[in-house]
Parts: sequence; structure tokens; C-alpha cells
Amino acid sequence: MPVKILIIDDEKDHAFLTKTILEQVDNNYQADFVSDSREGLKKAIEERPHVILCDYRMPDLTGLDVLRELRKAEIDIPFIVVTASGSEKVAVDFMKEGAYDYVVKDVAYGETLQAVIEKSLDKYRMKKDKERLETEVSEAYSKLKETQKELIQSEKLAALGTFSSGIAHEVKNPLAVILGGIEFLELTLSNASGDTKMAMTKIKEATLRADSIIQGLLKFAKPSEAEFTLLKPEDIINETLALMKYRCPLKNIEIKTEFDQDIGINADKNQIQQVLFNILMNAVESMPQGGTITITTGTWINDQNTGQSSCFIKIKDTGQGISQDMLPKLFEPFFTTKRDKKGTGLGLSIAKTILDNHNGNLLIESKISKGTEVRIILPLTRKNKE
Amino acid sequence: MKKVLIIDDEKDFCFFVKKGLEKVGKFSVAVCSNAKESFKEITRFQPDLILLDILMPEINGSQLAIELKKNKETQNIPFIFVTALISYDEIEKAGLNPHDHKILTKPVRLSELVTVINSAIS
Ligand SMILES: Nc1ncnc2c1ncn2[C@@H]1O[C@H](COP(=O)(O)OP(=O)(O)OP(=O)(O)O)[C@@H](O)[C@H]1O
Ligand SMILES: [Mg+2]
Repeated sequence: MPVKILIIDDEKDHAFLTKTILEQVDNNYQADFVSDSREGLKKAIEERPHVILCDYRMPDLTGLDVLRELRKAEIDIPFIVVTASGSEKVAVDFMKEGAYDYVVKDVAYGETLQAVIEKSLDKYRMKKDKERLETEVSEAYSKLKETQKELIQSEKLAALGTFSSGIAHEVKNPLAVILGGIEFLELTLSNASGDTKMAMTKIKEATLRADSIIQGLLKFAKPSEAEFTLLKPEDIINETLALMKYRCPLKNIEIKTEFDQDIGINADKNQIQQVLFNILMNAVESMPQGGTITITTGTWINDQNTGQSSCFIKIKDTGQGISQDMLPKLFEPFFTTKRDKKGTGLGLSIAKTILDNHNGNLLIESKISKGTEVRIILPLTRKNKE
Repeated sequence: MKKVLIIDDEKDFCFFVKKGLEKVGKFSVAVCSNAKESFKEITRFQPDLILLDILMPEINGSQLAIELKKNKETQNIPFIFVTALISYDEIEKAGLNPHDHKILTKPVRLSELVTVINSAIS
């Protein structure tokens, strides 16, 4: 590959001489000269030569100005300043500003030129190699950190899985006694004061909440093995909506659906129903005064080359929204703003775990007091057009 | 009056469930906290339905259920599992096919228990 060298020198004769010398010493050198420094700068930026040989004293932009402009534009081209003999101090100034080297216009000019150019090119290559290595190392390091984090997480989860099914049994037994006891008290103390009755109700609610935490914890920490079957998203959505309406009256909540009828996904029906239920309940809970939930399904092609496609289920509410600083925490187990309303903070963690196991994803966008949009992404298995 | 037998090693749970079922469900209720003595108790009490825990010391609920099914005297008595196990694989590990049985998980609300018992014996 030829080495492109740009000479910037207001003395045309000297520039020409330099060009001739260069092309003689190495027929790989392709030299070009510009006598106007501003034009030289422009040419350097546009053509990116491999080396710049620049005179230091020039009208308009001096050599130092050219060098500074290049640095400002973050352009790193080996820059060699050509100085008059006896002005080493100038050379030092240039080196301080980032010049690669200097060459003195004297009798030995012709001989030193090539050596200086080669030295600068080596320096440039070494610098680039070092930079590349540094980015590689830092990328490898962050990847390592990431993997380590995942590993710790998965080990923790495995341990948590065994541990939590153990404690679930141990905790659910006493919970059964507490619930039984409270219901017994409710029966026997039917004439109790309002406060006593309220206390009993609160204890009962807390017991049921502790129970749902245990159940959620198990679903999160020890998800059951998925049974994959071919499903149509709209069928699961409709079933989940029916289940929801059965569980809680959807007061003042309008549900709009817009289904792409031709989608098939390979998924575990119960688990996807669980995901939908958790997300839809969040949407309902975000609209205590009522609102609209819009459910849309569709597909897109992820990769034009392989034709690999995804299916999405978008659930949009017009509720209170989520503040930006909370968004990164939503998938953390036990993160909840509904502690007073029996929230366990496991709904989205469970949904995320399930979708991860399906090679899918969960994306959430939100605007305070405008609403939230949750997108479930799953690999597309079939798209019928007939 | 329909008779319900509770077989569960958690005595306090049995006590409260017994009281609740008697009062709300209007059942006659007996309790057996020692699984080993359950057959004696079944013969004596002649229950219309049995509430059965799964994880108990000595004999577990699934073994007991198999014995109940084998025995001519007891094979027609319906039973409902009331257990703190919640995942299917744990229930399978205890020796049961979770799809073949009615299984309620603890803690269970009295109202739900009454509904399920009534529909099982009617
Ligand atoms: N659609 C939504 N609109 C507004 N906030 C939401 C929405 N979905 C989730 N959030 C916020 O994210 C938090 C975590 O949700 P997640 O479903 O994991 O737990 P939770 O709803 O608090 O508890 P649980 O699901 O057990 O009832 C919620 O407490 C809420 O602050
Ligand atoms: Mg939730």
C-alpha cells in the first residue's frame, strides 16, 4: 500500500524539492504538496494522508495552528514539523502539542527525512495497536464482569430455589394456623367492637399477603419447567381477560384489543397467562379512577438476512405512569410501591424470568400521569397468511 | 349431619379447622393428628369425607391415600388434600399425580374449604 504524504509548505520550491526527494528515496511514497496552509488543513481533513510534513512558519495559519486544528478535530495523523536549523525550541513546542517528530531543513534533510517518516509511522501504528488492545481489554473486562454477575445471579437463584421451596412449606403451615385462628376468632367474636373487628381483618389480610409473597417467591426462584405448545396470542389474552374479570370487577376500565390474527408462538400457556395477568393487573392498579387498556399484537422481522421474526404483545394503559428513576428497578424482586395494597413486588420479576426462559423479553416505557406501555416480546413460530 | 375427618399432624390447624367447619359448614368433625392411627379412627368415625395432609411424619398423605383406595371399607370415601406443598413437582415427589386429586394449598380460607367439601360430598 502506498504511503500518502501531504506536504504543507508556503515555499513552493522547497515543497517541490521535498516531494522529489521523497519519491526518490522510496517508490512507495506518494507525496502531494499544498502551499496554502489553510488549504493544506482542509486537504488533510478530507483526504486523510498517512503523514503530514508541515512547515512551521507560514502566513495565515502557522504550522502550530494547523496541528492544533487537527487535534481539535480529533484527527490523529502523524505530524512532522519542518523547522529551520537552530530552532530546536520550535520543535519542542510542536512536540508538546502532539507532533510526532521534527526534521531540520539542513544539508542532511534528504537523508533524515525517510528515517523520520518511518519512525513516525511506527509510532502511529504502535499507538493504534495499544488503543485497540486497550479497548479489547476493557471490553473483555466488562464482559467478564457481566458474566460473573450473571453467574452469581444464577447460582443465587438456584440456591434460592431449593431454599425457598423448603421454607415455603415451613412457613405455609404456621400461616394456615394463623388464618384458621383468625377465622375462628371472627366466628366467635362476632359481637366484638369495630376496632377488634378491624384488627382481625388486618391480621387476615397480612396473612394472605405473606402467603402470596411465598407463592410469588417460589414462582420467581423456582419456575416450573415450561411445557411448550403452539399458541395463538389472542386466545391466551382473551382467557386471561376472562380470568381477570372473574377475580376483580374492572370498574370504569375499558379494554381495547387489536389482534394480528395470524400469529403462532411456541410457549407455555400457564406461564404466559401468568405474565399477562401480572402486567394487566399492574395496568388496572395504575388506574384507580378508570381508564383504557389497549392490547395490541403484531410481528416484526428482527433480522432481514435470516428472516428471524418476533411477536409482540403490547399492553398500554392510561394510568399514573412510572417515574424514570424507578424504571431500572422494576424487575428487582420485591420492588413495589404498593406495599400498603398487598403488593409483593414480584409481578414483573416473575414475568421477566418467564420471558427470559422463553427467549423473549419485556420492555417498559412510561410517562408520569400519561401512562405505561409494556411490550412482551416472544420468538415468532408461525405466521399464516392463508 | 355429614362427617368430616381431618388427618393432619399440625394440631393447632386441626383445632381451628374443626371449629370452623362445625360452625360454618355444620359438619360433624373429628381430628386425627397421628397418621398411624387414622385407620382406627376411620373405622370408628365412618367419615363422609377426609381432609388429608401430605407431608406428615411416619406415614405421608399419599401413602395413606393409596391404602384408603385399596381397602374395601374406605375406597369410596372421597378425600381432599390440604397441604403446604405448592408446586406440582413436589406433589409428584410425594408420590401423587397432582392432576388426579383435589388439592388445596395452605393457608386455605374457611369459606373455600366449606365450598369444596360440599361439592365433593353432594
Ligand atoms: N402499568 C404500571 N403503571 C404504573 N406503575 C407500574 C405499572 N407496572 C408496574 N408498575 C410499578 O412497578 C412496581 C413493581 O411491579 P410488580 O408487578 O413487580 O409488583 P407490584 O405490582 O407492586 O406487586 P404485585 O405484582 O405482587 O401485586 C409497582 O409497584 C409499580 O410501582
Ligand atoms: Mg404487579
